Amino acid sequence: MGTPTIPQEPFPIYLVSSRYFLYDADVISHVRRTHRMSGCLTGTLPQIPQQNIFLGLPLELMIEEALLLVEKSAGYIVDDVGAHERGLRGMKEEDKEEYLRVREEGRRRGVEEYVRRVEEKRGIFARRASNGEEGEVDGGGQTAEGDGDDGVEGETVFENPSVSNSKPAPTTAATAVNALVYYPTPSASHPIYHYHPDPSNVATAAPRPERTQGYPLYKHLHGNGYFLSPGLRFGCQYMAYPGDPLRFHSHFVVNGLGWDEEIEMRDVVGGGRLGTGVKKAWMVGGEDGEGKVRTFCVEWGGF
Amino acid sequence: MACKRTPLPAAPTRYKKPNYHLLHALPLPLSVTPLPPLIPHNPLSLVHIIIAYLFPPTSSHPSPLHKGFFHSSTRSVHIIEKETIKAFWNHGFFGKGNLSRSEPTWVTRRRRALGVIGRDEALTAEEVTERRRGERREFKMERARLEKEKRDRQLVEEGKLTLEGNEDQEGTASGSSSSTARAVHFAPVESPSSRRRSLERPVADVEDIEHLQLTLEEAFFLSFGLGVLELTDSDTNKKIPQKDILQLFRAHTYFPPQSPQSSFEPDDPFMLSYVVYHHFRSLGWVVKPGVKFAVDYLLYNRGPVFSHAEFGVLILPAYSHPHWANDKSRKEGKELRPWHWLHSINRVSSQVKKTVILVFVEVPPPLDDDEEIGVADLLARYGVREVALRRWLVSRNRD
Repeated sequence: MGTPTIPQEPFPIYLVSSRYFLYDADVISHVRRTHRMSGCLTGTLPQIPQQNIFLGLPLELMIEEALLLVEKSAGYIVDDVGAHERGLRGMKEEDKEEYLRVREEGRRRGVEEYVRRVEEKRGIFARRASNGEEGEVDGGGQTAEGDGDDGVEGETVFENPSVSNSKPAPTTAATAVNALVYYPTPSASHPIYHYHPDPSNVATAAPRPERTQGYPLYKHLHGNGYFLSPGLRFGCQYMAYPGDPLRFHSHFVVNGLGWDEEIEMRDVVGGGRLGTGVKKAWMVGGEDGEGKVRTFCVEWGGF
Repeated sequence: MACKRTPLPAAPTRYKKPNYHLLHALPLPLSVTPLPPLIPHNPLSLVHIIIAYLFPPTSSHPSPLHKGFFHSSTRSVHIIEKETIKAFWNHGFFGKGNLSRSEPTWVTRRRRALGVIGRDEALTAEEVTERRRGERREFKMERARLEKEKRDRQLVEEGKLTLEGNEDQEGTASGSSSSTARAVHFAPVESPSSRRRSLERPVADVEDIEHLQLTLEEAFFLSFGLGVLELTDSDTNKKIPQKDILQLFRAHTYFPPQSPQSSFEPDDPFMLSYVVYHHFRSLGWVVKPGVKFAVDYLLYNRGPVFSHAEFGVLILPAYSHPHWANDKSRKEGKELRPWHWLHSINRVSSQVKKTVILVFVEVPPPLDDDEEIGVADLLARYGVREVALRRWLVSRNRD
């Protein structure tokens, strides 16, 4: 719906039990577009928690992605549970009432709008019934009406389904209020529930993500324009794509190592087979003593 | 189109294999004779059994024992005598030829290359594989060519192919032969043996310079486990006494090799791998090194000539004895492995249709300094647990 709003940086990255999440779709598309990070969608439908394809919000970030965003001061870490509790405790009574009032107001407006449209349509039908043969003119009027409806459709999507039954005339907003009421569930906590620490305040900030062993290589490849996605199911730490993963196949199967780390011959052979079997190159790399990252590729020659 | 149509190559010819069931009848390089039958109502049969047991007609072990040369530089044991190579390869598939992929066949391939033996005589496994791959490649190229021709004809009929290209092609085709690209692609490869023969060089037989290499685990199994191998140190040319072999081999699985006099940890690489090797050999599997499939060992049901390996074995030390409870470097450095590592090995193994078996070797606490126990007792302190692991795909594992 319209152009995505560009979120303000730094945006919050939520930390829940040592995983990093983004809740806001605008932030997610911004991160993908400008920071070349695709992350991993993790949300399932509440009814189907075993779903493992077509996942939705929230988006989980790798530790390396979260750390790089923090280092670029594009994001800051918020301890989600702590912030939520603090926000709830610190909420004033009038804030709460204001929030509930606004929510109720919005809902009522939606219902009234809906009722008004139903009434209008009923008026059209009534007129058509009385006028009889002047159907053609009304038909033209109805299409125009239909076009106008589309705008409001979005707001009424979550409204009470009991209202949508075409009831006789005396349906008013008052009866709808007494029925069971549904509200849309927001994907992120409402701001007033959530205490947002000042990102510039070091004392209140959540700790930075820990530097992992693969981070230097991650940063190096990311800096060279690669998209990196987690490669656990492909048997590596990261998959390196030359552009957006929706457009390209990955070129490298990447493992970050320590500079003096010993690596078994068996695992080099396995890496070569792993990469070549899917027409990629197996890459290892790490930071040498002087902070320079070097990378090495292995391909299986015997295929 | 004026190009000549060649028929698909004939079905690949199957090469005659030797009778492996006769050749590899014995599972180990030992000759065993069954005891005479016990007949309950004939007491003399018991006497027969006792005599056959105490004074067997033929010894199960060769005499003198097979000889192997331990090479410190290559960390392997070399077998040079032809009879021993045959015995170790045919009965239990021990070792590999140093100039061959597996079975020592260098001399056969060399003789064929020099024209001493015919093109299809006594084919080795390497040659059969090479030919099969060659046939497969040619078949694929031919199929691709025919498909392209068919497509082009169809396009010409439909008028979608530009005629210029066609005319060009026809021009060259009518000139002398088919198009140049095709001629390059499908020219029959001249085999080296036919070329050599046509030169009519004097044919001299080839001297076999290949030897059999045994890994240290194989050599230890043959000398300690079966008692059919006698080891000589190739540097000093002296026999290595049986009791020193274990220490020597343990010293050589470190790099650089340590002194055989030093005392080793109970989880040194040789002990772990030998325990697993001995375990599977004693269960009747043929165990071969599996580095080419990113595992430690490959398990063959009867031997590599009969079937592909079914299982790949990964050796993982387990430190569940209370002695290791506080040993962080072992618990975290050697026991813990990253998930992506396991996934990569599992993927590679499922690519080649093998099942990975994680073999956990329970490492016992170290011996006291003054404690001296025999090799068999030392090995008995280790425990082995196996866990089979397979990649599970929703779509392929649905009943």
